[in-house]
Amino acid sequence: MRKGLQSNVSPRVVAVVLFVLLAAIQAWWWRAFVWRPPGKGGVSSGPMSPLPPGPQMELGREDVRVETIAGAPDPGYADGIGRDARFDAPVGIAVDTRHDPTARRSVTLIFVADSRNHRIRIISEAGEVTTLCGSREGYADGPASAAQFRFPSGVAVGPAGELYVADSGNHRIRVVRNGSVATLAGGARGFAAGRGSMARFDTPTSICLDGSSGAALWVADAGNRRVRRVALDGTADAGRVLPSSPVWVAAGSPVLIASPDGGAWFDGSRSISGIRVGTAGIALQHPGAVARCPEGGYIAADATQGALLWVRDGSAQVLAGGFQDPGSMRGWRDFAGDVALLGRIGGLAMDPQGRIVVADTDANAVRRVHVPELLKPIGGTAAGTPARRPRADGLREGGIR
Amino acid sequence: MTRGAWRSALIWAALAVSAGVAGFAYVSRTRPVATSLCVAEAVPEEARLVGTDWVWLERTKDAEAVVVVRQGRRNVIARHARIAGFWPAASRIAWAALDGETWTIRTSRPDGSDTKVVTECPGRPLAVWTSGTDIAWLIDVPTPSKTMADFIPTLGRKAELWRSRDGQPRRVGELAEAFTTAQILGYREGAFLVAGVREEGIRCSVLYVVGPHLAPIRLAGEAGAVRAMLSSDGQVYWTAPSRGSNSLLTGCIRTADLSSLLPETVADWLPAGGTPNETRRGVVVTGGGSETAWRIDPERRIGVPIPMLPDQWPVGAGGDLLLTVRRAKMPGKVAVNTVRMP
Repeated sequence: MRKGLQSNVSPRVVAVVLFVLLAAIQAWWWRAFVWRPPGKGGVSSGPMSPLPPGPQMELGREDVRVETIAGAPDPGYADGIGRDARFDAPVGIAVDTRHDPTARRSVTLIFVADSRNHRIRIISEAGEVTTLCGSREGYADGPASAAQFRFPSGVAVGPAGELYVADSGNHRIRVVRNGSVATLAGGARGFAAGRGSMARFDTPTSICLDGSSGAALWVADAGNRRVRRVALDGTADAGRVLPSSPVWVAAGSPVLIASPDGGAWFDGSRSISGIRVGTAGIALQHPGAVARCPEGGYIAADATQGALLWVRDGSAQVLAGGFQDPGSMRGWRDFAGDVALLGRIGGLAMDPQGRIVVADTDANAVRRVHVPELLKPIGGTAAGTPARRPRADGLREGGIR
Repeated sequence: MTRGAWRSALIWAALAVSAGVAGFAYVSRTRPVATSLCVAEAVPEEARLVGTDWVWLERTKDAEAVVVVRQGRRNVIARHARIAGFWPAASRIAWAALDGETWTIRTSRPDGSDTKVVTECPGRPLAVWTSGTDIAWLIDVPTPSKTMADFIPTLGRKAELWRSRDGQPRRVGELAEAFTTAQILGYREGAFLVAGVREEGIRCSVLYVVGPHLAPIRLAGEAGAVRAMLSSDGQVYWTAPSRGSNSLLTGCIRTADLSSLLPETVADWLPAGGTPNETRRGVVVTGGGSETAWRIDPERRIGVPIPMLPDQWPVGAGGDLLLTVRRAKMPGKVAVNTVRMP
């Protein structure tokens, strides 16, 4: 048999068959794993074509620095220094500079509406967090420590150092003055213009001082879809109706309004919409907390993203965090702006040193963002924010209580 | 053989049998022995021991079922498109079920008889609890107008706690929270204990005391998702990120007495995650990232690993037993065993 095969099959034929077989295998391999037919515009669509495009992403600037000045992601209530303190859904934020007679200098205090703790908290320059007023959920005027709030979500410092609070869950505007909490305006949930308890609000979410007169407040009356002007004697007007709920207001002349569901900010009556973010040109759809930037434009946030933005001339630059579409990238990480992660921003303000103070509602923390071109010299006081006296809110001069 | 040789052989045989019995007794006391319980359609979830019955949830591709295993007999007492939660009591079992578009709260006897629909839910149920006569459930309530700023508590979704004792549902309280998952841990001193994982960008969990005559009190808040348990002596236990380690893979068990409401860490340096279970050997943590169960030693403030057979994976605990599943390939079936804790 063996001898027969040797005699019948020529080695040349065997070599040719083997060659053809190997060539066929190689051709199949090349067709299956290497060859890519040319697609439209030169983009290949063969077996090794790239994955479909993922979400567009715009990261913050590497020269921007993000730090947590108080709080940590686990929700709770604790006074203390820096990350030892605990917040639960901080929303509103206000910065105030006051004269400290003992130190003979101005000190900066940060007021935070600690919404789910139903309290107003203060952060000192040293990062020490204390409770200014509030106790448990409810509604009660009186001494600061016994007063009760229900999900306060906005704070604003008045001309005499008193503190105004948008007591969102109680549908009232409260005032903290001389160590005592009182109701400035509002009663049961509803809508009515009037003075004091005759006025009615529905879920006021944000409050700021009227920049033009300094003798009135602007209130984002979210449930009534109105921005209301409340005089410091407690008289609320009927306000201006917006197409969708205003959620944030920011001091300035004119007032700044953010309406995330309407997709626009309003600088007075001028609508700011159609903002594109970064070089990718991602559409900003849900404008969030906003503040006027002294260097021009606005420092702002998107209500669904973990990113801090600088909005100028119809476009937004991501200062810190990440802006992503579709989806969002949120988290808690302090570092350079392009690596740092932020949660959704419930409130923001600028301090006299030009730093941006952010209420990171998702991360239950108060963060601070340093942008080089916004920073002012150390010890300098921003124009228009002179140290004021006397105090009328019950706080010790330059101190916490 | 001579008579002496027989006697000698008998003595040696008796000695061998005695040594074998002693060896078996020693091994069974110190090493786990798996006893087959039943064959399930899926890995048991949220397994609880009530008396001598094991009750758990089985989620398959097509349906979800509440299963009661009594004396080795597996009885499916409820099968629905989705089951959001269940709670077994000695006399009745309650569960929240989705059929079509409608969520309902239902109860039945442990043998599956006398099934009753307690109520239809206007929102998605998050958790259910029963004592047998008293039924409570937590539902997710969407905001009237959906807003993109729903992370502000007053604009976001809410969770409502309802209760039915006499067949008439009544609202107990409201939490300004949007939960992805939640548990009703039990009822103590006129209030319910609720634990939930918040639906936020940075996941965190909260435990609340919710009563009919008081605003909800937050008992504790933790980063990450937690599972909690209310023990029969009124202590709440929950899993939490480690207090001593900064590794995400390390966790701890925290506890709070309902009279003081002051949380403290009862044991640290455990594998992260898991579910605390009340057993006769104390609190035992099963599941999570751990391949074994851990018994909490409150004196030493550490977790003690319970010896486990290499092919068994603990999924629950109760009494003296661990409920385990066998890590063997059985298409569509899961061998469920019990292992007596040494």
